[in-house]
Amino acid sequence: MRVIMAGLLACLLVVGTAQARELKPYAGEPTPPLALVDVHGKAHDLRDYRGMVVLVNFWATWCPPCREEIPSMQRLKAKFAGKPFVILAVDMGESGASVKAFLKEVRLDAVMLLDIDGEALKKWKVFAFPTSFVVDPQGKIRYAVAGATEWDDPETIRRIAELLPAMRR
Amino acid sequence: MCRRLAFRLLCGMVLLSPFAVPAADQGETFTVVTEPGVEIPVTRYQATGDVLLWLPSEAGLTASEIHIGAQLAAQGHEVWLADLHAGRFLPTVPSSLGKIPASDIAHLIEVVRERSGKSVCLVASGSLTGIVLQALLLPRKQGSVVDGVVLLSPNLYVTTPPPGNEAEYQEVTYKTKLPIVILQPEQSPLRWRLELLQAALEKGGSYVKVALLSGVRDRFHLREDDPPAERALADRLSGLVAQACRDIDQIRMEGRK
Repeated sequence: MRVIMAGLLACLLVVGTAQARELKPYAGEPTPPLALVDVHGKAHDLRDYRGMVVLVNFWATWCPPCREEIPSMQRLKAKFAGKPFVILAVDMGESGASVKAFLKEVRLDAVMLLDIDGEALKKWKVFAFPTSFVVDPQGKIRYAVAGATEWDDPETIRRIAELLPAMRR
Repeated sequence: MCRRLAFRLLCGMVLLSPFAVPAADQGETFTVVTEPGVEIPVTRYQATGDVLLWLPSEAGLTASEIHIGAQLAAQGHEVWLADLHAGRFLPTVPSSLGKIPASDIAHLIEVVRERSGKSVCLVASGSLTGIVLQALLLPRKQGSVVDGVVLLSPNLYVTTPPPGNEAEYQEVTYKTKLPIVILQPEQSPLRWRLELLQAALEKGGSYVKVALLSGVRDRFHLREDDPPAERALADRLSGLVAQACRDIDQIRMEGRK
């Protein structure tokens, strides 16, 4: 019985590990516009972030995989503290109050944008939550991932770090 | 054999559980042979009303769906719950759906029609939707038709595209000509493209009615981490499905398909 249980546990661990997705080179349409209001009512435009590496993350408070990846996203943010790196977290269809309430429980140093009517989701062609895009300092999407990922994975950090020096040239 | 035994135990557990509904009857379980070696376990709750054929999706037939079936029966609907996965000894993982042929579903519909002699309202969800619509396009015996389809969170994409790429709908989306009621949870990526899906289905001649379910996620009735709003709506889902089938009747009466 113990052998069976151990086997089942091993299977579950393998499945669990396999569910984490990798950041992949982006092969979609050119960077769509992104102009939204944040949870405090302030307007933001992706174009205002030229010169920075931007992680655009489509998420929702009710989405378990979205919540699961927040701690590693925060560690990534801490890793690049002082560097021109910003996270634009685009919440799908929820109120500012819902997002603010959620952020009392979870820390994420990100600009919290609200896509109330799903227009940004449609333009960015997002079909799963979470979906993330890494935009380089020139405003071009370089990487993307559909599903939760470990943002402080060494390979992910390396890929994002490689984009940062390009900004200095 | 194990899966069939598990299916019967599952039915028994639901009926004996504190959540069990005082159903009009306890349901009878039997198998429908769709081809040599393929015996699909079916639970049938007899009642005087029209038939609802409930086809589970990725998660296979769950205790929650059996509970909903019993609730519908208590409301006077004859309910057939088919365990498509068990019939082919498939594990309840998403990739198994690709191994369920549309002919299994077409055959089930024939059997339901023959044995009940009643109108059939078909209920399907998620990624099984495409296979169900394909089944409805297969050549069939005269009279082996359904009145319409109730779709919960239908996913008719050929595949989920990589980020930044447009999704394509399966060809069957444009070929279906039926009254369709979509019940779509609001907390879902699918919700944002409902208009496109509706347009694609209507292109084939279907009449589509959409109802957004507020405050719940896809598969809310199957989730174990269900927050209170999802638990409450899961308890009302039988009523929503019954209403959707009545809407289908109405659409048919008005000749809008």
